[in-house]
Amino acid sequence: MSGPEPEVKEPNNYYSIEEVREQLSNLTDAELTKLQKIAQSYIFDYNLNTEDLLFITFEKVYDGSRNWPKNLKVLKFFQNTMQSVLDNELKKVKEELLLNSPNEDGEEPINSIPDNSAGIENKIITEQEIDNIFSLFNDDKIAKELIEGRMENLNKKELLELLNLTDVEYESKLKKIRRRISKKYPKGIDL
Amino acid sequence: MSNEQNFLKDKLERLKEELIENIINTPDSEILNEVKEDYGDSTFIANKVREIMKNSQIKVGKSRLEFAKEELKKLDNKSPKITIDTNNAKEKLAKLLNENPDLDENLLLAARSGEELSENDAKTILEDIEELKKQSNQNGNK
Repeated sequence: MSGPEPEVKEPNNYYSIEEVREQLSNLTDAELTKLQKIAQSYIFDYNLNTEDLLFITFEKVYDGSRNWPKNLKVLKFFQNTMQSVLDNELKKVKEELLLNSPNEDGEEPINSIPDNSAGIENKIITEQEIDNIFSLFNDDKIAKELIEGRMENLNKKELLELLNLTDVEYESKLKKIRRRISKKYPKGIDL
Repeated sequence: MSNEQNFLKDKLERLKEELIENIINTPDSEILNEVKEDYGDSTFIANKVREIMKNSQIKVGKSRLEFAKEELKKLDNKSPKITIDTNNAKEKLAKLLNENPDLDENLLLAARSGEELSENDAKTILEDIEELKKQSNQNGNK
């Protein structure tokens, strides 16, 4: 029985490893800063720090295990890669847990693989933590409504209308929300 | 994960997405001003990230080197050692040269000063010839 055909990577659609190195060496201060801030946003509810996520992501880009499409700008590419790193690492942890979990009779598996991985895990989010985020903006009704609206899956266009904001005002409000959350939770939420 | 967890996680994911979009859309000068406000130096975070980038590159480089070393070891183990009967090596070499006048000239020159050759030298030359023959066969089969 044959398996699925392996995906054939069209060489010209992706940066080669040498090209990746060149792209990365040319990153500006602003781009590097944005990468850090994106990583910091992602780890908010994971037991991983920003530096580790950046390190793992760079590693996967440098060693070619994540291919960089030439039509994708650097920040979007890294955004996708970071998300993928988190998703895959979580999957690994779940698979290991399954492998090491006791059987129906409560017996430990005989040949269990020792769990040496640091293990990326989602932290448990409670209503209280969501409320804590809201309470950071008790002084700013619009910011609170923006957060709530986005959490309830309203898109930008709907929020602009609902809150009677211009595009510039909207981005400015988001910046305030982002900065305040980042200052309050520089390493993500506490367990 | 429970349904409630998924529900709360989804809410948080949506907020995260929006904040990340905001980061990407913020003009470069503004983002650097934020860093200056927070750390007094607009390049502070960028330099930290450069350091992380460098360290990850070093790690990847080391892994590649280890891999290459392992592959080389496997290759060395696969190549059969050439063993030939080298008793009376000088005599055998002389016979070989008489029968194969088109052998490598350097070898011929070395071998024709036969009286000065030790058994060990002759043995080495025979092994070299064996290796040449083997390579020549492989090239012929390509």
